[in-house]
Amino acid sequence: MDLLRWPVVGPFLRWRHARTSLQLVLLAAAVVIVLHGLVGPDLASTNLATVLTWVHYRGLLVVALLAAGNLFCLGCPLVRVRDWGRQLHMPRRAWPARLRGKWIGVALFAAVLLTYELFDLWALPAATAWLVLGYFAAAVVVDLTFRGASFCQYVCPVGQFNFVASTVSPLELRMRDANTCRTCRTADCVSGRKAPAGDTALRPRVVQRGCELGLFMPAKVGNLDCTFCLDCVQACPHDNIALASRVPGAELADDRRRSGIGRLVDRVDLAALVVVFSFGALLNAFLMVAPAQALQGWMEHDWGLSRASVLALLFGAGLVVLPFGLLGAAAFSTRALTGDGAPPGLVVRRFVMSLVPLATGVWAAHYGFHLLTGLLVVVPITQNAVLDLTGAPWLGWPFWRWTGLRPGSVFPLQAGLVLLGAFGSVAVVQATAERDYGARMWRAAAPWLMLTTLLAMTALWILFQPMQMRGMGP
Amino acid sequence: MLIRLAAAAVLLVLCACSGPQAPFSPGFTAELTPTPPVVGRELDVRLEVAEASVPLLDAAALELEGHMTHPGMAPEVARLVEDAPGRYRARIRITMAGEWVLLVTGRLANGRPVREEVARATAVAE
Repeated sequence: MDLLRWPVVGPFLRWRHARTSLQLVLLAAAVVIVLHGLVGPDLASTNLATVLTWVHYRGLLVVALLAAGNLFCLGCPLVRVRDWGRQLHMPRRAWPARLRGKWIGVALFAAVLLTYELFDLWALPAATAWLVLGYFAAAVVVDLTFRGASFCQYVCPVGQFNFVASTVSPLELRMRDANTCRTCRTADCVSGRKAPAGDTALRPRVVQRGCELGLFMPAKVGNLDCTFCLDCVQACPHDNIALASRVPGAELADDRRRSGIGRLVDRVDLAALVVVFSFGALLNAFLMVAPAQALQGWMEHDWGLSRASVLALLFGAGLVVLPFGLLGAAAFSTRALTGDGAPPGLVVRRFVMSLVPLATGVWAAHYGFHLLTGLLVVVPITQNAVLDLTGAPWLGWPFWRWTGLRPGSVFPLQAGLVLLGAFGSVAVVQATAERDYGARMWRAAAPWLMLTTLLAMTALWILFQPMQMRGMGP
Repeated sequence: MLIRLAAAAVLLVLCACSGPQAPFSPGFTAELTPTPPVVGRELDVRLEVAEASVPLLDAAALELEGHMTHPGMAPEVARLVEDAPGRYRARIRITMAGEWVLLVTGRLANGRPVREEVARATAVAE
């Protein structure tokens, strides 16, 4: 199935300004977020900055990833602003070679999760607005300094989240016919389409850029590092790129060398990104339930620690110590059960990708909860904003009863997402073990299946706990 | 294009900053029962207003809104009932543990909006 050949959807996606139009929609949302965050009410649940950012954006982003693909990178307004900036100043420098990789993105991803908790960002409209402005500024500075999509590829923590989660998306951009690519001599999908010969003297002008993240279509495998920008579709002179359906998550057990990435088992930084993505999902959800509040209170009172120290300890334990212990134990068990002499780190890198489906299920269960229970609050808040702005109820008096589903009614869906993710992880473990261990596959897989079960049960336990909305805000 | 966008943004900020009428705060004091609020139970809120504000207020035009500080959670809304001049009462249901902010909102007879935060409380599970 190729969405680019569907009626309506296909012509829209192939339209030259499709991406710009999506970017402008999200840019308008960002402007609303910043303005209401800075001048609107301080109470987070009545401010569009906090509601649109922490409820709708996060929720819809996960829904889009699971239903289609990396649509929020496709419509990212930061890239629109960056492109306007590049009309004034085109960077020439390449991103420093020693900074290539995901380490900066991993650190920023973990930092975002920590600062979200530490500063109660969900409860601070003005801080949320400044965060959005800061994000725009960072993207513009990085991408006006370095060419290509350096910010997306190496820095953006949301982008790293999207790259990992999009491995379980049902759609990917891929070549239609391998022979067409084999005979292609221009590689426009990655280098960009040039103006016809004679248009310029020595160096042909690029009239349509190719993939800014360096993904060469014939060697592209899966969705990692793909922003779904469709530049390759626009650039390919042979119309040989499809937006095709596929088995979600299958690429996680695919160890072919990938364009722009290499082999997954060789990438320690990608393994670290998956660890933060996976254990961060559990930690982020855990911190919303009553036992986590009780634990934090106990650590503060009985140990005499500040809240910052308590959170630092919990994040250290949740994102470093616990993963190190659990993944290490699973790797040593696999070695012992199979007689495999591979270093434990390599065994971890073979299997760590299997955590992604379960973790995506946990993120979806968490963010989906907020989205579904608060889906309609944007209506009364917008009415209230217009009332505050104009003094007249032009959109009617706020319908505060418009909220969303009752919290309890969302639980079956949440449990279903976690279980579906767990099944996906089991399938990836099995495929990985079959690929690397052949006849010893079940011995190799057993520790990782136990780990998947343990993490899935932990996620379900968290969902069963009473929620406690923490933080007092301003 | 950039200049146009910047101009539009500045215009929007100016519009937002020059709101028509600042909300009126009558000066409520609130008493909550039970304290702390308990999930699943109704919270009884008794309000008393500063004497000077009494003639300005009409209970029928006032509501008590209970919002959680976390965005996206359903607010609870109840109409104020006047027990005696200057004394009001409302009950809202506490649906989740966590931080709640109680606001009185509505209108004065002259149309000026009323908006005042009257209490903050941390609701606990039963």
